[in-house]
Amino acid sequence: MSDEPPELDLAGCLERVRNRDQDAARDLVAHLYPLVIRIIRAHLPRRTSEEDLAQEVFMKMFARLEQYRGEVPFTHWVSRISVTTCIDALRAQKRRPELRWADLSETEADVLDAVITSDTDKAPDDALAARELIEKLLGMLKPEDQLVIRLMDLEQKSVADVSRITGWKPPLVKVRAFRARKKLQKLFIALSRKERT
Amino acid sequence: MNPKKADLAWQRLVAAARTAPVLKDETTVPYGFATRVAALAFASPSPLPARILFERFSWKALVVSALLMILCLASALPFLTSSSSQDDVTTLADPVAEVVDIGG
Repeated sequence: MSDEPPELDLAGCLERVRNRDQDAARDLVAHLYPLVIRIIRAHLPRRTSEEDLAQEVFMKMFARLEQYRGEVPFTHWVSRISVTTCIDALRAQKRRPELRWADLSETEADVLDAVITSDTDKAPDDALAARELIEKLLGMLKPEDQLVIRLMDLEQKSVADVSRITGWKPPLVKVRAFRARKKLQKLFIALSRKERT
Repeated sequence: MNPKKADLAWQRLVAAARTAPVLKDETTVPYGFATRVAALAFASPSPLPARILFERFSWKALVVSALLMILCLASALPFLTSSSSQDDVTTLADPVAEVVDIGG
């Protein structure tokens, strides 16, 4: 599935929006909505309405439109606004201080047990539980670390892609990914030392 | 568990999570969303670019400083105009000036 929204005369539409044409603004929102909503869903903080967050992204986009100089494609610029809005929303939420076996559901605990104890590369069967478990583990990381791990490990984006989406320089992306993985390693080691209750 | 094993465990977990079905893949705009957002965006006055704001504040600052200068001059004017006659009085009462004047 492509991240690119359907065709639209973006330059002409932006010019009309700058002249406060409400129809053009509506077309622009409709055009960019699929791109924005996919980013939000991938990084959606818990208990946050995706529509509220999407509205926040578009309001920021309109407020900052005069600052857009055309140095990067408009969709990249909007992606970065979406990503920073998600990071701000994640930052507003309290990070989970500790993850214990008791915090996991039965299936999540089984999945964790399987990945910790198994010596083979076979993935655990319960994909949804694995996804939930990852969400809980990522909930213990800083928003920027969560973002880089989601993009690189879950969505399998390259360093260049992450750099394009976030606006971070490639060395920064690599450093953040390295540090985030180190933290995840520590979490796994700490969990494996605890007794399953 | 060593770091290498922890990394392998993470890779296995991520591989499993990637196979999870996407629960919500609807990306069409909800009814009325675009209209509402466009209306909200134009409800507030258009934000001015920083350059124009800076220009506007600079002119205001210039006007205010000019007014302050005029006010200062106006308040100091009586002192400035009366200072020469005051100097004369001071000179007349100065004994050294008197001596010099006598000597001359």
